[in-house]
Amino acid sequence: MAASVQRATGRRRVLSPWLREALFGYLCLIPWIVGFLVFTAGPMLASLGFSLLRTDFLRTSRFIGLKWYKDILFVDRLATKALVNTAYYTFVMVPASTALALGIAVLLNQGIKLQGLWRTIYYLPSVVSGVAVSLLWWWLYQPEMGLINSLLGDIGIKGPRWIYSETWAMPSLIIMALWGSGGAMLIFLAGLRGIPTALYEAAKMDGAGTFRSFWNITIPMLTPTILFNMVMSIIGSFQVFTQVFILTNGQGGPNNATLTMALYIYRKAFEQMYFGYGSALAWTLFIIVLIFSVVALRSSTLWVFYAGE
Amino acid sequence: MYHQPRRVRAMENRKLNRRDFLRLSAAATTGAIMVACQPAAPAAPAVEEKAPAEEKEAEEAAPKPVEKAKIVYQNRAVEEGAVLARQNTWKEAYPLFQAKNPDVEVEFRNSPPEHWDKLMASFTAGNAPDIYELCCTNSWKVVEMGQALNCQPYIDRDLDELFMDDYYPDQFKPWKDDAGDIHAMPRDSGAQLLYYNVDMFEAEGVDPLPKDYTNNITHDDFDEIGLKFVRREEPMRWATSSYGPGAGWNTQYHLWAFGGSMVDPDDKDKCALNTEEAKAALEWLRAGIWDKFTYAYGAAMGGLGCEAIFMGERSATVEMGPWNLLPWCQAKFKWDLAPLPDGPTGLHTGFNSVDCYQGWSGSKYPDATWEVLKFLASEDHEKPYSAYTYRQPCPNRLNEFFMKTLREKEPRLVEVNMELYAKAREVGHPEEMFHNDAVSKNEILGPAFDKVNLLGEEPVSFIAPFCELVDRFNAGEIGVEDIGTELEKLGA
Repeated sequence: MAASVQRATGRRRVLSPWLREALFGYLCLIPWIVGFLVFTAGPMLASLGFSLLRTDFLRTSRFIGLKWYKDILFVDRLATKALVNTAYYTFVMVPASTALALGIAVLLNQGIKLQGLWRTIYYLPSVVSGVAVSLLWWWLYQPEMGLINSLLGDIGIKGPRWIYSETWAMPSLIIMALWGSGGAMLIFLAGLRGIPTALYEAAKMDGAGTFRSFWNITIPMLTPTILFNMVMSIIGSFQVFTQVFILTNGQGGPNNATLTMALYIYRKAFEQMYFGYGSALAWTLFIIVLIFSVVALRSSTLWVFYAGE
Repeated sequence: MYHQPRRVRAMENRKLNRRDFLRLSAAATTGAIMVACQPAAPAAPAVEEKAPAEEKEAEEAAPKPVEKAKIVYQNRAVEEGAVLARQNTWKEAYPLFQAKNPDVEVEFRNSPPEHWDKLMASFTAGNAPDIYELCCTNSWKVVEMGQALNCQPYIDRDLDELFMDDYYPDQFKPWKDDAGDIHAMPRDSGAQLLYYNVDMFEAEGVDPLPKDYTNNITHDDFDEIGLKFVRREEPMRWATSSYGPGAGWNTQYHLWAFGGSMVDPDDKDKCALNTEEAKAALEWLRAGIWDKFTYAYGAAMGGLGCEAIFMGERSATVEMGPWNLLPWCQAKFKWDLAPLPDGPTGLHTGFNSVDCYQGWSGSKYPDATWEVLKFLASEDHEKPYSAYTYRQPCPNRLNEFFMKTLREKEPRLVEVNMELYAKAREVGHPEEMFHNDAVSKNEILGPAFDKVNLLGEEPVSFIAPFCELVDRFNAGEIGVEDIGTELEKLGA
């Protein structure tokens, strides 16, 4: 017994404590790294390769270089339409949803009664499945029998044909998406709770009114939260799919008025089996999202205020 | 100057820094992927080598281990009720299969979410289920892709067991390749009929619709009858509706009634919407939607719309098949069935749905796959399938069984003219498919139909150049990337 203890304590350590700690850290990281490489980075790189092929994976596979990219940018007017529709959706949806979520959060932060209940009510649409929400709104938007036009009719307004109108189809999608601003609202609410009350007290002592306090304290202190919500909203908006798919029966209609990039990718790859073209469209969308995200993040040095800096 | 802590310096001096670790992980993962993606070792040759004569006797004497063929059969049910119905069907039918095929084991799988996308991915990955279920354009698409098992040699071999004459004439048409070989077996085939609200007809003093094709009404007669139900003020009401007369099967049966078609019957590359007959049918639809307001489109578009407006007594009739009769038995009013209106020349026609079991051409056990396919389409399976799902079985000899079983389960159906389902199937046709069906129908013709029928902005003649565009695309004159530009030129 004594001899074995001696052997154990007398063994030369191969790894130092620091290296062992580092190795343990990396060991813990391995599942994520492997998952990322296999399920995210690998397929992404593969799709980059596919985008250079004319392929349905099953019958034909021919290398065509950057042809699909050239077509997307200079030839395919449907791709252009999908891009314009997606941009329209994003550039209206992002500011509108941010403003709405912020507005609701500010209202809910006023110390009103049953705050938890209100918070739940506003957050609820965010946890309902996209399919269920879309079906619900599909009924609300029915031009002849839908609740919205019925209510508009009661006050003497003839409502539009909503999702069955080229002009109104995209605004219909945006209005529906705004209904789900509860997620961003919750994050804003957390941000609002993080603003020190001392700042408001000091401003009040200096004679600042409600609007002045909101503009000079709340907004600057919330800018990191606004940035986060904005970037997430940009990414989500560029990828809009489920709502369009359900509301338009997978068609992006009427007359492609709601054809978004994600729907066009699905149509090309999985309905028409042009996987190469679908991959090229996906990479085009990825680059656009990347550019906008980077611009938003880089511009943050100009308008985002971090209290610790 | 910034002074690095000793521990950090020590870390940097070690051989295994973060970058090295990431490199190692990437290399290991790449290796793992390559190993995983490596093609499987070639299967043992199907024909066994002959054993030497002296070993043969001993081999024959010893009991031979039977290798079971393992078949994966994936159904397409998604909703909870449908899934349960399919599970019950399989539970009841599978022992019958096992009794006849002890050397085949079948794994029954429920449909994964995004059934179609995953099926495509599994074809590509080479691990598709041996048997899967598909409908409509997708079943044809798989035939075009060469992924569907060619059933023709098996059908020719087992003709005596199959009762091929016991199906309606065009039953197998959607799954025939250009050589005429069949690539699927039928699952169910619902005949489209006119469901009508008997109470509403009585209230308006309108005679009930015909019970069969003798003295059937024409499309013009239907307009005359339908106008009696139309209300343009709240609560609005229409004469009829359907899943939507777009560039698909819901328009096709009207085209057939007028003697036209969407796809050239002799050439799947060609669009046939430019004929006078087709234009007359399209004009009937357009006028019904926009001039007479008999045909609800916007209100009924999408999966549930037309059923809901009929059940909500907002339409007097609805064009519908027996795809799930259970909800219809909950209707608050009396309803019955009538044939779809004839064409102007009295042509009887209708639509029969296109649902099938398809085998995968890459199956490891094609013979066993065929045995399962054959069983699925047989009476042993079709009977419980029909009883649990309330769907119309394909063999004609089961029509009586279908009616009897459903009437036993739902006594309300006793007073419904269910006999018509069988008669309608005899005059009906399956969906017409183009080569490149999704591009032709959805991408090219879809916007034109939207402009005419959904938006009501253009006359029927607007569709003609789109029809020519389908021909040009299928002839290879323009590529898929040119379609958008061409659509724009045509005003879509």
